[in-house]
Amino acid sequence: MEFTKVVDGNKLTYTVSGRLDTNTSPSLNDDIAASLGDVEELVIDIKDLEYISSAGVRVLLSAYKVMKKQGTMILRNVPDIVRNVLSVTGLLDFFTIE
Amino acid sequence: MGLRNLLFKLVGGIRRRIFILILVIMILMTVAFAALLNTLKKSFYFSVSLSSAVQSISLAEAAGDVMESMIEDSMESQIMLESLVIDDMFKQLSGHVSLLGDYVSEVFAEADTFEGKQMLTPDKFRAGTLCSQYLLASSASLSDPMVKRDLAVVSGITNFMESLARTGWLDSCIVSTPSGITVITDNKPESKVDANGPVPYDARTRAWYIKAVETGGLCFTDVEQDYFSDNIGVVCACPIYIDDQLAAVVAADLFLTKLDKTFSELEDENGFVFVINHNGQVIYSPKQSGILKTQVSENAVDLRSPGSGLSAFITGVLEGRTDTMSVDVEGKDYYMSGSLMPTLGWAVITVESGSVVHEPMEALEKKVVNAMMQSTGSLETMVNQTIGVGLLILSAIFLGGCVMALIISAHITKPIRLMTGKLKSLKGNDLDFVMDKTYLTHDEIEVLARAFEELSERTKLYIQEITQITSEKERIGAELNVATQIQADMLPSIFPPYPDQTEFDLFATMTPAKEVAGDFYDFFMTDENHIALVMADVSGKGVPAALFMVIAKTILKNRAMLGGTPAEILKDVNNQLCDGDRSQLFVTIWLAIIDIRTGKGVAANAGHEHPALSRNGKPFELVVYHHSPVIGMMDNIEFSEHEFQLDPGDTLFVYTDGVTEANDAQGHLFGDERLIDALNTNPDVPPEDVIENVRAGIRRFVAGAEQFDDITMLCFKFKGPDKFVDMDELEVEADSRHLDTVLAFIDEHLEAVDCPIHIQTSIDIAVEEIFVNIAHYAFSEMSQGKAWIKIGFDKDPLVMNLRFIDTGKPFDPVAKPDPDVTLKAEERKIGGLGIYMVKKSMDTMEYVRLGVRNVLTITKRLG
Repeated sequence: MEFTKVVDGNKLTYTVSGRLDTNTSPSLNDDIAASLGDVEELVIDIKDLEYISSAGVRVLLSAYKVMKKQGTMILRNVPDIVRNVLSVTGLLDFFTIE
Repeated sequence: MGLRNLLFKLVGGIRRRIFILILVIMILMTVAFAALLNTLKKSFYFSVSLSSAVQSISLAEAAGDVMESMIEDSMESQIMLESLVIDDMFKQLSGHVSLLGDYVSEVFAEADTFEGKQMLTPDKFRAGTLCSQYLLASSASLSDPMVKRDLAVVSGITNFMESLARTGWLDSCIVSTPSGITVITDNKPESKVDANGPVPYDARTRAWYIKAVETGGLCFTDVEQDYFSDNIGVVCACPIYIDDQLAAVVAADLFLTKLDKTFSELEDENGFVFVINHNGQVIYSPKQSGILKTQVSENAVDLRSPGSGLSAFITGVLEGRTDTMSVDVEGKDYYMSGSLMPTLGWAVITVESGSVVHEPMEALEKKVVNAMMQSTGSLETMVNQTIGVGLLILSAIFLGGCVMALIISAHITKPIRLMTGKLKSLKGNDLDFVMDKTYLTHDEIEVLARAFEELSERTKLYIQEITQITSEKERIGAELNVATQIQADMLPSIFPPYPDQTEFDLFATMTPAKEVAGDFYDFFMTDENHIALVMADVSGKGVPAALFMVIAKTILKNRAMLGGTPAEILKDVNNQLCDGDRSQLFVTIWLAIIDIRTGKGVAANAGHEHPALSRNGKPFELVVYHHSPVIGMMDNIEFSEHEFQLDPGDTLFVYTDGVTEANDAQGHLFGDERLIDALNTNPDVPPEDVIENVRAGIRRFVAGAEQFDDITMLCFKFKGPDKFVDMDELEVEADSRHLDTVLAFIDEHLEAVDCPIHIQTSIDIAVEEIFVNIAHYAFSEMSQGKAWIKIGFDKDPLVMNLRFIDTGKPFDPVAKPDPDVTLKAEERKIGGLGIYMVKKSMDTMEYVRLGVRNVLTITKRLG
């Protein structure tokens, strides 16, 4: 799993690629949690995300819970594989997906 | 407490006892001494008072005797004198009468020559004047010539008579003639006159006249009353014969009043004098009454007569004795002494009142007693003072003794106290008792000290020895512990022994009665499809049995691994164990070899207990069949064996006699029936529960009694073969770090069967979720364990069969409730999604707990 992030004022954009599983999720989770601060718009681009397990879902859910209070979170370029997982877990409808 | 401690320090323990002992002895001695003093004092008083009494009595007696004899002497000499005086009076009287008689006879002899002179008759006017008067008898007359002549004769002697009367030795002089004339010379003429003139007087009728005539010589009358007066007196008379013719009788009166003068000088308050005549009659006495009063003879009592109380004395006196006698007269005590008067044959008796004698005696006695008492009193005072001083000295001795007792007891007990202190201060390993010169008392204390010294030396030696022995024992104990550990390690103790082998479940335990045991169990796969089960019991216990067990177990396993049937294996093992001296030890062995694919087994029993079998969860029953001999008794013997069939669900239970022969406190055996009952408390449970049921049964039965024999049990539950038997398997540490390894293993197999990629992804997700769950929940940071993952495929349709096995704590993901996916994302919990995703994405998911294993099986259709 690899990720990059771009800060543009109150807007924060992550680009995540590779496998987001039990072992890789914590690093992304920690980085996001530390970066949200007064971010009002969080964009996570997962166009190249190949794999997501429940651990990855928890990263998204955690970020979502924070952003719900201070702004918006947008999942961008969601692959089918992630869409399926989000669908199964009933989260697909809550996330803003572009 | 402080005071008591102080007291104990001062006079405690033995010291106090010695002190008390000395004190008691001193008190006893003091009491004895005081008692002695008291007794001495009493006896002294007694003897003093006794001797003073005796002395005073004897002194008084002696004084009395002296007094008495003195008084007697004085009385006797006095009476001699008095009698002489009185006798002299009578002598004078008689002398004068004789003179008168001589003169009268001369006159009468020459009567004719006398002219005579005028004679007077009594004349009361001459009263008190000494004169001579004549009286006539009434029968006589002056006219008678004889009367005339006689009167003339007598008138011639009146001068003589008057001179005699003037001598004072007599009261009257009388001359009477037979013719009837009486001339009386005295100074009481008035007494011879009455109203008619001179009284007639006839001397011839008077007693003195008659007695003189009768006697014919000088004589004395008895005491008589004077004819003319009240005077009483004695008359001395003498007849005068001329030519043998009575011419006249001369007489003289002596009134006893004349004696009064003499006697009154002799009389005092205590004494008097009286006179008795020859007839024992009182003729003179100053007493006016009683038997001693003076009386005229005719009335007087003869004192010699027995009634007077004086008879002996008076008789003696009249016989001439002058002894003083103590006489009782009319109730009064007198001392009397008498003396005979030779002239008259009368006696003078002097009388002294007894008190004269007694009073000085008593006074003397009193004085003596007083003196005695005074001396006794001063003696008593002296004795009391002496006793007081004695008591003071005694008190001083007592006090000094107390101090000495304290010092002596302290001195005697000093070594003992020192020793006690030393012994008390011996602490820990410092048991050194050192001799001290204080202990060298040459008595029991020294012996005791030496004994302590020796004891100390020996104790140190013993402690050294015991320390050695203990360390030796500890070493042996430690080695035995190591041996126990080695033995325990020799028995397979990891359960499940073959976690991936789900065809059977197995559990076994051994609880040794001593540190190392003679029982053993064993199980091992002889090849990939056959498991060998062993239950054995070496005779005896302890180290020898354990060593034999090691040999037997090793030989048995080595031989079994070479193949062959149980009977063959036991035969070879027996021959090997019989080779050489095995210290008479033998071993019973139950050996079974089971094909885990089919449940078919062959068993041989060399003298071991019957196995128990439960068919498919039904109650256990003992399986009884022929037993072969025990191993190690004799070589070259054949062993029998028999086949049996286990079906899935069957449970086999084998054990040693430590189970059935477990003792309770009363020595009862646990026995087969209780074993079967314990097994059947719940027969359809995993093997470790079966064994626990039996252990619980034994625990209840023995109720705390000491374990008598090794208790060894093995339980084998046959599950039956399934399709996972020959599947590919990954054994991996249950740690999420190995997730990639697991996924690689899965992906490899999925790609081999051309699994569509999206299905592979979902399977990967499922595998990750399950593996991570096992790593997180079945195990923890503290208890790492392994997981086994088996994967295989059914064809037509193509279905993936995936199985996760782990030995972690029970964790059933299927039972985990699904998360509420209808909640808003912000209301969701972060966790709990993984298993839900597995359930949703996989076709089936099943969980079983197999013994100590979690077995999770999932299927997914791939095409």
